[in-house]
Amino acid sequence: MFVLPADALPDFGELLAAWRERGIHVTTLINDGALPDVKALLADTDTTDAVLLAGSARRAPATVVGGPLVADRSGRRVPVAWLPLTCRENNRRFAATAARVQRRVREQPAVAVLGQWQPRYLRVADRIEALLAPYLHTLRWTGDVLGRDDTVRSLGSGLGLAMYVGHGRPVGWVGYHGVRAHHFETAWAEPATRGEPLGAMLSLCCRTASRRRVGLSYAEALPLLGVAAASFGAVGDTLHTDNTRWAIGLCDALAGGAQTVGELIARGAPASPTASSSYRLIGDPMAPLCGTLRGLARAARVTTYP
Amino acid sequence: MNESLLTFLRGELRAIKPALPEVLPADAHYRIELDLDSLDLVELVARIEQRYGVFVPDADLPQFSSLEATVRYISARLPA
Repeated sequence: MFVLPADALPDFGELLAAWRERGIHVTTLINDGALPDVKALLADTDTTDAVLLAGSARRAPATVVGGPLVADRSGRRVPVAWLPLTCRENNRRFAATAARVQRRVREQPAVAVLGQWQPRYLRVADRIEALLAPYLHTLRWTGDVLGRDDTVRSLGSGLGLAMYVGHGRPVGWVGYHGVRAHHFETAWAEPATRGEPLGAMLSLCCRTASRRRVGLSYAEALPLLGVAAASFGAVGDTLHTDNTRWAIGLCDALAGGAQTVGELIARGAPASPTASSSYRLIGDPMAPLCGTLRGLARAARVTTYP
Repeated sequence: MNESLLTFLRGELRAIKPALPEVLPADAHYRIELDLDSLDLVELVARIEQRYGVFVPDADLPQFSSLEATVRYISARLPA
């Protein structure tokens, strides 16, 4: 289900076409008034796999929906994503990015494991790697083995998923001496260094989807800049224990074969209500997590510090 | 004691920390005798929550000191 204002509809033609090509049946709901209550939208259905709610960027992720999952009529948890509409250029860039990711050949699931260079986060990264290693390729790009510029460039290899653990702020990650959206904008700007978008970028840390003292949060900026088809971040402070719960749940969901970011979030969400409601999904909830072999080969060539 | 829960917990502990001894006494202290750290404990709790659908507040984590203490805590919160 795609909810958006009528005047924005032409900007998303490419994404609607890509969804259709993938066999995804999309119900477009034109909404020019106040954003609808998603709970009410889903109360009458049990066949919706995901909802993308697009609306004025004056609304913050924290206020458009209560969390990344909303129960439908049957009690099934449906992933709900938010897309802030800022300008036509950003709408079209996001649509082109998400369409490109949808149309990519799905050959190889791989995860970039990112983390701040601090023992507690490196330990979580170790555990994520250990849990995922038997099931899919992992690329260890934590702050102790890769610097900021190399990390930003490497994330443009064309992988399906990247997962960050560490401290976070509304402007970006604290790890890697600070990563902001503009670092991607700069590094990916030239045709020679243009990155291939990620399927999804997950930030298991505080506040990357918070609007506190920022025009647009880091988690919102990434899909609009074309860095990823979807991103996942917290709207406030989070507990390390809750983020660890998320990490374990997401690893189990990946090991269990989750195919899209929405499915991953729905299957991996922890039982803790606060852990779940702290986060928001931004961008395409149907973004696939599988990348191309070429993308994985590019990522595997990244040189890390020993 | 809930034997199926105890078996589940032993299996999860071994998955979390493969280096644990062959025999895992129910009264062995997680931190002192089994050398589990806070991340190991949170992972165990996360798996319990997923499997049994119970929610364990962080404030209750200190009660998870051994297998038998964990079984006692979870059993009290499972539907009859």
